[in-house]
Amino acid sequence: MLSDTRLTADIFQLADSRIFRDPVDLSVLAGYESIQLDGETDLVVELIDLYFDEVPRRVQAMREAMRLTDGKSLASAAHALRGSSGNLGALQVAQICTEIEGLGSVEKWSHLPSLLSWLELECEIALHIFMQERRTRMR
Amino acid sequence: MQLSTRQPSPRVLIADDDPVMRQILKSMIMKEGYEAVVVEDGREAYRILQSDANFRGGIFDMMMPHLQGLDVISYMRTEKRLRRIPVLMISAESDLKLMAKSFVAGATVFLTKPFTPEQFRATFRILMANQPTPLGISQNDYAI
Repeated sequence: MLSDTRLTADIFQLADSRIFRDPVDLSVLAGYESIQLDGETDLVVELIDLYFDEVPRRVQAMREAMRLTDGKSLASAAHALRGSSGNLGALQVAQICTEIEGLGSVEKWSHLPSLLSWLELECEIALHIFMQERRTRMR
Repeated sequence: MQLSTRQPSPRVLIADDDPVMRQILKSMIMKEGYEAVVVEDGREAYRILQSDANFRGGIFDMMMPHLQGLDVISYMRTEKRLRRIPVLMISAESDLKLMAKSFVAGATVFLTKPFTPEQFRATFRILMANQPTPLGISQNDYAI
C-alpha cells in the first residue's frame, strides 16, 4: 500500500500531467468512422449519447459507495467508467478513474473525496468537448 | 419469382456491461459481416448458451456483474455442444496473470482495452480463423 506522502506526490504528479495532456483525444472517436454501418445512425453521435447517460450514473454510484464506505462498489464503478472513457478517448477521466479504482480496492479513503471532485470536473470538461463534437456532426 | 439463396449471417455472442463498449463491439462485428447477439452481463450470456449453441464465436468482458467472463468460458468448456465456440476475452487489465487465467479457463484470444478498430479487426479475424477442425482439434491460442 502507498504511504500518504507518496500518495500525495502521486496525486500532484497526476494533476501536473493535466497541463500536458488534452482531456479528450478526439482522434479516438474519429477512428470509429471506419466501422460506421451504411444507413445507420451516426455511430459517433450514438456513442456520445451513451456516454452522456453513463457518466452521471457511474459518478453517482461512486458518490454512494463513498458514503457507504464500500470500497468494492467504488472500485467497480470506477473500473466501468474507466473502460468507457478510455474507449472514447476521454483520457483524463480514465486516468483519474484508475486512481480511484486502485484506492477504492484497498479502501484508502483519505484522498478519495478530492479525487472524486476532480473527476467530476474532468467529466464536465469531457462532456462539454463531446457535446461540441456532437453538434458539429449533427450539422 | 426468384428464391433468395442468401445464407443468414453467422452469429457472435457479445457480453459486456458497458453500453458504450457494447455498441462499439456490435458495430465492429456487423462491419465484419456477422450478426451480433448482445447481452449486458455474464448471467444473460449463460442463459442464452444453455439453449442456443449456434454461435461462430463469443466475445466476453472479463469483469461483469453476476457472472464474469471467466465463469462463462469455464461453463462453455464443460459443455460438449459449446466447446467448439472460440472465445475472445476483453479486459481493461493487461496483467499477465489474468491473461494466463483466461487461457487456462479456455479463452482463445485476449484483447486489452482500450483498443482501436484495427486492433479489434486483427484479433477478431484470428478468432474466426480458430474454428475446430473436423477432428475437433483447435488451432493455437493467441494473446494480442
